[in-house]
Amino acid sequence: MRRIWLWVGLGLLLAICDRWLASCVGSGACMATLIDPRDWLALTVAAAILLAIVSGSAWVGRTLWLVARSAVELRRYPISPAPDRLRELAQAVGVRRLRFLPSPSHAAFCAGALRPAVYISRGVSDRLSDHELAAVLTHEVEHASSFDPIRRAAWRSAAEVFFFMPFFSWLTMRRIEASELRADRRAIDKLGPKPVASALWSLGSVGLAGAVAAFSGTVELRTAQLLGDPLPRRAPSGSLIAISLAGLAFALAVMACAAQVVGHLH
Amino acid sequence: MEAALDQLGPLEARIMRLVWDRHVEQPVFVVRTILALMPDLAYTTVMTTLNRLAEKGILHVTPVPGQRAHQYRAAMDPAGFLVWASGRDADQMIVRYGDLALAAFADRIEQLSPEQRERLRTLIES
Repeated sequence: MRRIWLWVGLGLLLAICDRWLASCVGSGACMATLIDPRDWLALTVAAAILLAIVSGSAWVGRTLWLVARSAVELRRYPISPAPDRLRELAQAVGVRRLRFLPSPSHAAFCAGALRPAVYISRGVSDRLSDHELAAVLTHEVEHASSFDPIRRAAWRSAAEVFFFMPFFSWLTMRRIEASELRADRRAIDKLGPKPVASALWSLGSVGLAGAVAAFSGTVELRTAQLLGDPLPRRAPSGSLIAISLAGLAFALAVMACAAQVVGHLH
Repeated sequence: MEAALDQLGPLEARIMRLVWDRHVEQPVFVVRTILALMPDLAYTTVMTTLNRLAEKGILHVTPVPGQRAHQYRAAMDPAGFLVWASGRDADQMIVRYGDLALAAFADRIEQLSPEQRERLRTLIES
């Protein structure tokens, strides 16, 4: 829905800008400030620079906002001292920052931008065996050591900011899949596939409320990796690339018009 | 109790401190009780805050028999509230930021094909 509104906004921007240009064409003084539309190279370069500035600022801003918002929420968490068993297991698999949530819900995740920590709830700690818990912790250690939370925020922001190029959404999904597979691979290499499979099964089968609803579903790929099946090679479809190029052309058209306005105002 | 109160807004924390402090001798209270003990607060402010606490499930609210007033009692003690808040926050965090700014372990097993599920089960039981 938000994507539709963004498209509407972009279309409106082009319409308003075109209207202004049309009024400018009648005025000699105004025309003198414009880039000659016949000089398509200069106009394309100006549009590309403006698009890069606008999108780049929005991307950085959105990423920082996501990171800051999640950091504020994380700080509100009631954290308790971890039980000895969990602390020892975390130490054994190399968790540098462990946060224990005294909650019966089933939460196991890595969060935090600059100093990522592994969050484990009592529900998870109580439900899983030592081997399963070690698998979960090892999986999360990989996310923490790769700074996946901030990478994920950056990829997601890029997908949102470059909404006119669906290729970015596709690429974001592939990056998330790759990070999950890499984290599982670390746990498999260290502990074997069985505890990872068992933990995935155990946590994937319990009532996780809305928690799992937030995820895109990489479970098929993760399971294929656990079972030793070949992982499918994924390439963007021709239509995805064509739509993305059309979206880029549309965004450049909007920016070309906006570049004329900016040039005139200066 | 302080850790539990930190999870609440300033007014909510003031009221819940009173409720939890007096929980043993007075498990059930009405708006008048709060107003008498916190004279600096307006009736509407207290009512709004009590309703908010009830909506969050921190207070139980029931009608006073034979009257239009309502009575309130704590739905959980501070320790229980901390556990509850922790679970609520963890779930909310994952719903809001899962795939956005955090990486969680769990995934949807039900998305697997019956064949993949069976093979995964065999691996676990091997």
